[in-house]
Amino acid sequence: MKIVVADYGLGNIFSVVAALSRLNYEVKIDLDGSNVDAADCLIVPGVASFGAGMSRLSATGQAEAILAHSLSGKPLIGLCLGAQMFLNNSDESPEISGLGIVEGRCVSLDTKLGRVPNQGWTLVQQASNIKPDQDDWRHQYFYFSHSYKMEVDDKAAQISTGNLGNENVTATFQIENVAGIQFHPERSGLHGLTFLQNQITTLCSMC
Amino acid sequence: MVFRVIARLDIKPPNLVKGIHLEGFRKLGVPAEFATDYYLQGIDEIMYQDIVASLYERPGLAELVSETASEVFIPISVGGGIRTIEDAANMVRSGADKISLNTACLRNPEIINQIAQQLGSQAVTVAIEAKKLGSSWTAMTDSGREHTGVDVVEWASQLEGLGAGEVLLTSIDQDGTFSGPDYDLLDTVLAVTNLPVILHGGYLTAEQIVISAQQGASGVALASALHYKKITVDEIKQSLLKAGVEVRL
Repeated sequence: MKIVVADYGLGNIFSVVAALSRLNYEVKIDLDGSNVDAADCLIVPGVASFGAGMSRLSATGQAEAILAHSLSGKPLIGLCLGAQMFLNNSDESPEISGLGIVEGRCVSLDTKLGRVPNQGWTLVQQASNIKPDQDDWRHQYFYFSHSYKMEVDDKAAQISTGNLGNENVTATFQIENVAGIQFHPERSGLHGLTFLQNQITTLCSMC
Repeated sequence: MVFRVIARLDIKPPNLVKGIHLEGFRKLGVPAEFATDYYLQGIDEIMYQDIVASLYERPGLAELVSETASEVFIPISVGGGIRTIEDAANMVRSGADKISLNTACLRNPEIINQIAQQLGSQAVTVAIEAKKLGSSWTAMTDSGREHTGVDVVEWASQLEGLGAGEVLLTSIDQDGTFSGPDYDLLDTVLAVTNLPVILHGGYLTAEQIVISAQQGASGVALASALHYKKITVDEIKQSLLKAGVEVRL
């Protein structure tokens, strides 16, 4: 199975590829959208601001390729900023639109409820409407590093949440072939790698 | 909020080193081996600091970061000699999740936001090297070598507005001494910023770490205590759990 990772110059591409390689996937890097067609599964990572990320994706032509891929029915996974950019917009860069693949938005974390950014390990709980076939990652800690949280509007979306104490954040969402992951599975230890593998497998099994 | 136990590795390429009061550095071994060991013990994060980079006007840990990022699947932060957006972006491309600034941002505070605009503020840590001065603390640069005349508390209060994502607070007076952390410094800085604050310098016992957690630190960065095997990651996390502090297991 060929996994393509979109490199738009602003992600922690190295650690994502390192994690996928550790999981024995065949990985190809895409720089301009031209490799996306051949992908069995496309991963869009991100360590950057929403505005910077979207500007780059538009400039490279990858934005269009990602949109086309999302409509193809093949697995599409967004990691951190990648996931946020699948939504319509973000408080972080209000003047810039997201890819709009999934209805929703990113809103600021509330400084009155806790220290921002949410930087560190957070316990993730799976939503009740998800079939319990991924027991090994529910109620586990994953590494989050973000100042904005995702709000997904689609009621059919399967959502898991991270509990910050005074506030809940969306940890993952999945609608059909598209999954968005707020935390960094590639930086969440061995069970982070297992989670990533399960996510890829689950989406692929739907194709 | 889950409390973080972080391993801080001072690097004089290619060696892991450790000093006292940020000087007199002793060679301790191969950095990647220590990092892997801490990862397997359950450490939450690795922080690499290039202690000579600002002397040579270049950040030099990209290769070490890549090597570590290939084996150690937890967050890696890197600091020392990072001056420009390109320096920061290169470190992230090499596998770093966060970069840390000190000298560069005291000279030019705008660099914090410039880098944050590209990488997001959660990827930008401001490291403060605090030396006691009268009833307050003064900020040092160049790995504790140079005075700036800047008051630490004043500086810390500005960091959120400047776009930083986190504060790494090092007590130069306590560093490497095993005589306990500077609780006053932590209290004072926590009171002036909403950013996560990590305290570094002087830890010897798990109890000291528990107190810092109860004070409100978001985490601790440990060097001597871990490198010289005074305490283990497991002992620290068990103590924190017993005291009701949430940690990642």
